[in-house]
Amino acid sequence: MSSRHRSMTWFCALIVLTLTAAACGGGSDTEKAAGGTKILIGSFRFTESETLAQIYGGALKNAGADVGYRLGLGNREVVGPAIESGEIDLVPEYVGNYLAFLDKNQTNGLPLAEAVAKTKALAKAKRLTVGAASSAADGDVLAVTKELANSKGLTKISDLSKLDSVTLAGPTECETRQTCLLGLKTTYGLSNVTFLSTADDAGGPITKKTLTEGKAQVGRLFSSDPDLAKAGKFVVLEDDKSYQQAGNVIPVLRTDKATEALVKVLDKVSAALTNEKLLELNKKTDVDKEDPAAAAAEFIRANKL
Amino acid sequence: MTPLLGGIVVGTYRWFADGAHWRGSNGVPVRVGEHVLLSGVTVAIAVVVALPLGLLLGHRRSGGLLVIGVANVARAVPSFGLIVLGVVAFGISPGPVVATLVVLAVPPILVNAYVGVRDVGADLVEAAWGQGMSGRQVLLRVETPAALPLILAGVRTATVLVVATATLAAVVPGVGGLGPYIVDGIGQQDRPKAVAGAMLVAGLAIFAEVSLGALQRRVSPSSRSSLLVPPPEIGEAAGQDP
Repeated sequence: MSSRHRSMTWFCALIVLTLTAAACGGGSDTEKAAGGTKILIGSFRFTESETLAQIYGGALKNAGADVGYRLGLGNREVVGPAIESGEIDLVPEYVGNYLAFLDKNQTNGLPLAEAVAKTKALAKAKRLTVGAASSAADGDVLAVTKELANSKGLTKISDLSKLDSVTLAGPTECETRQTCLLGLKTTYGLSNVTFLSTADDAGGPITKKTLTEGKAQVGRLFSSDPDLAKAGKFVVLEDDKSYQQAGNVIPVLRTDKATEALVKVLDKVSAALTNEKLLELNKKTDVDKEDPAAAAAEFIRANKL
Repeated sequence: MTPLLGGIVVGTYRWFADGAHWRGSNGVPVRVGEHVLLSGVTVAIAVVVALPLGLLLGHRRSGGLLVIGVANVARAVPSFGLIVLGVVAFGISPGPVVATLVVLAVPPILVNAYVGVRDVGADLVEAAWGQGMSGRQVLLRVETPAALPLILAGVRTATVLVVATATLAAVVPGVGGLGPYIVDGIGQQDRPKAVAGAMLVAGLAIFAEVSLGALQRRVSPSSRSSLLVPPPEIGEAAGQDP
């Protein structure tokens, strides 16, 4: 049953999205308030993204929007085209990586304000509206086990040249992303790197397992991962040539749905999110195994959104 | 829709035509080899586990409830979850994949062996006992050969199931096979890669189906002169030739 779960989910999501997109296409946005506007919210396939999607969604629902969800669609390579084609209307994005997705030549990390401005301009051309960036950030990080960091004296990414060979474990898209494997070769000039795909396990248990078992030395994790806290098993390598991107949470919305009132609601949510609260949310869902929907609902109540 | 479809067809053709996709540890021959090895080992283990049990219970004409129970439980096991659980619990290795696929492959082999042996004609079995054969001899010399077509059908079903499902190995880093082509193709928006992977898996499954089907037909009584097929009774033969 579950062997087919994944592909079936993907397949069904596509069909449902296509139908819904077709059904929504005829609607007109004449009202100023969020009242009755249909918003289909998508998310990436990891827990934090599903939680964030339901936080933005909960706030929109409270503002009177007709909210639907398409959670866990996949990685950016799947979600990006989905919002451009109108299969979803809103997705909680991460500014830097989204910028690198929109502009393949964006190989160096930019300061937040600059990254946001550039993302807004590029998104506009695709008829997408980008909300205000939240101070809560979850960027890609490269991490190693504490033991390896101590024994080899690894503190920053360029230290990886000290190792004879480096295996980088990351989700499948890492292999073709400038901000992941490719940048290690071009920006850092590391020639001793090979790639180990963890399929669609993005910063999850399998990626961590490759590190603890020594199948890989470096893993692509997320900065808001509770396991990277002081007591955790892994340490982050400093991105000393800043090739990774700012990871601030930023909502991306289709312009045909972006009424002023709606964007205001989104900005209010982004303002309420902080690094501490994001870490707290992740601890609830990943460590205490709370349902992302429940964690999101709690957040909405606690912050009166 | 048509330009998209055409793009995928052309893209997939180009993917196969690209020599780089045929070399090295990610090349088609290596990946097909990994997939065949993974499937082969799995089916072999499943045969070792399920065949003796099915034959024995069929021979004793008892334990049908057990066979059905085991088969139903095994069929209901969520393969994907089991693999991830296995990796988290026992570490990254092909082990959890093989174990999960064995669970999937056991039911058809077990059920077919049991039913095949159980349903061997009573006259045949009685004749064997009557000749003074031991239970072991009856099973190995009479019942098993007679049930062979059905037993092989079970192995064939299991093999096709395993070849198609072994793509799940993609979730375990470094195990390989053809699954990563599909998963990476989707994850990297490289449709030709995903389609090529799917075509290779489908091709392999069809090959397994056709070749094992041919083997099954070879051992079927209709196409061989078998001593197991009882000769026509004398009266009957005479009746046909007045």
